[in-house]
Amino acid sequence: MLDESKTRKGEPSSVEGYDASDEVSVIFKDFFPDPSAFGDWQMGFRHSYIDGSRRLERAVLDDPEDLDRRVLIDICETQSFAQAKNVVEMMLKNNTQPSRYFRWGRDGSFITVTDDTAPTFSRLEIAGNLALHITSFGRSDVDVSTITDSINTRLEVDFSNSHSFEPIKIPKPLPYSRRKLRLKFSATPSLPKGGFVKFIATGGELRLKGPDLLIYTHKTGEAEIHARIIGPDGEQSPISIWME
Amino acid sequence: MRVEEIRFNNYLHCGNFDAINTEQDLLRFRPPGDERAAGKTQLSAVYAKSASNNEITIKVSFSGGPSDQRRRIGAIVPRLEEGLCDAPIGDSHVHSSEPMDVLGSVCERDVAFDCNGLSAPQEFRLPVHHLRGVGVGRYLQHWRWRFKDQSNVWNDFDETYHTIYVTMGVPTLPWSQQITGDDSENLRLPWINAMGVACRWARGATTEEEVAAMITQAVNAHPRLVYDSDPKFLFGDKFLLSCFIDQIEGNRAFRVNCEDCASVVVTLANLLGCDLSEGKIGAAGDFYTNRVLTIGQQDSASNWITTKFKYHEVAWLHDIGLDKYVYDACLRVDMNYDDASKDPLPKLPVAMRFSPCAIGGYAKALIRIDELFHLAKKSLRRELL
Repeated sequence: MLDESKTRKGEPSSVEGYDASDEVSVIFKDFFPDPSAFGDWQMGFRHSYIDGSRRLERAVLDDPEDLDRRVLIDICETQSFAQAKNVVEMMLKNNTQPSRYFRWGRDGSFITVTDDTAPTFSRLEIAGNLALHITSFGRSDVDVSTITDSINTRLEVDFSNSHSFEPIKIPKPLPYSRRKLRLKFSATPSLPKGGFVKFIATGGELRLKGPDLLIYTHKTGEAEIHARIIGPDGEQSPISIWME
Repeated sequence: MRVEEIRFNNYLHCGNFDAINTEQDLLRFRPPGDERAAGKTQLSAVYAKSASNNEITIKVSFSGGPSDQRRRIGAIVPRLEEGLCDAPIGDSHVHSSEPMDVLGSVCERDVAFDCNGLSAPQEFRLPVHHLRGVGVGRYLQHWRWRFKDQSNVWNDFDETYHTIYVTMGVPTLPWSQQITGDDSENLRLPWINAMGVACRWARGATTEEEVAAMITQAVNAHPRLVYDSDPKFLFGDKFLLSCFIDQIEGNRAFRVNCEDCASVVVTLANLLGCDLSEGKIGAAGDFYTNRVLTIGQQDSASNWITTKFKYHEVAWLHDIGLDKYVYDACLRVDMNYDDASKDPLPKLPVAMRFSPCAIGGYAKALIRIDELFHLAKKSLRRELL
């Protein structure tokens, strides 16, 4: 089982003095790494699988210089952080070699599976509602850290540089209550090929349910949702969100 | 005149008198206008040997016939020496060296044409098929279609080529013969590309045990599979068969673990009508093995290792149990397990009884003598994704 003792983003905390309204919940939709992140590596396979509410995007990268160097990328889009964590737990449970380690990422929102004493041949991470597994797939071990760093850079796109898009504000709920609100969103124009959507909420937990976005507000403070379409080249554009 | 469409599978509820249901049959339920629904000549069909005691029929429709008249039509198998090297089969794995003529000739019958020279699909008998006598495999069927003119002379008018897959029986779980409106359910209809791999690996098998053994051997001996500790083709409780097939057809090595190997063996053997299931051997903590040679390793002394497993998964004949039979494509066990001073004596566990107490059993060969282990309570047949 994962270490539950640490506070994660997007989950309630019992830490004294902690203000739940400061919590950040992140949801991605249709994320896939920018192929330029793979350098000269070629994508030998790519396929989407739908399993209930989960979507698995799988790609195999091949080193054109060396037949034995291959990397498998699995990106599982779930409805929530909790579901992404379940996917990671499932993957850890399926690991037949108990000698591998996992640790929390630097900001508390990632889990990394790696051997601390060696290059990173396999990484397992959570980013918002995504579970990511990047691992060596060919005959030779491959250090996947460059690829994972590049993926993380794309995931961690910073909204603070772009103030032109106003967030949607959810009013403060009644004291001691939580609210579940259904939100609609649409990309105008439509999501560009190779683009994805990133939602960030403070004061509530986001969940993706089919075409809808849900927010479970915390008991105190108002919630705020920022959202951007991130284009294939990293450019940001707005996305419309409204309460039903 | 020409053959417009041939349907090998006309009774969707069973495969006793015709071909079994496959993913191809979904095309029939496409809405009008969908180009995939167009009545192309069906190129491949799957027959179960278990149904071969019955007479088999096909349905054929024709165009370009005489308006409002009848014609006597049949098809023969051209003689082998006429050559089939350029058979236009849309399947790169079918070669002219493939065995041929498994369905025999098409029995002649009268066919009525409408005013536009079209016929309705007509049922034809295949009274001299050889399904009973052939092994599992992929066969090339070539028919030369002909009609009898008013002088009672046969005239050739068309030729058709088909890939015929022969299985031991109707596919079993995780495969299904049910055609539904649910896409995820329809994933369980036999896949033609999976059938191609399974028939290639089990070619010539005449019993279910042979099928399971040949597929286990083919997986273990495959030059592109190398061992890893983590599964690469599982997602939750599902098996990513399409990705595995894509990789196996490629030219680069890739990693598999015990669960991947067991899933491949079970899924492909059951596609050919076997009854295998996946089941885990576990322990309270980890368990140590005797010397094993994992998949993808050359048989040299340094590659035989004792290792530690959190669990190990294999394919079981029918079900998991102490007295049941194991098919393990992931590793070779050492039959000199009781004497480490001797060179390893490799054995691929194929139809090997688990038998923890018996000499020569799989459990004794795999698991170190002082290790405790248990079997999973239930075996499974992973659904496909």
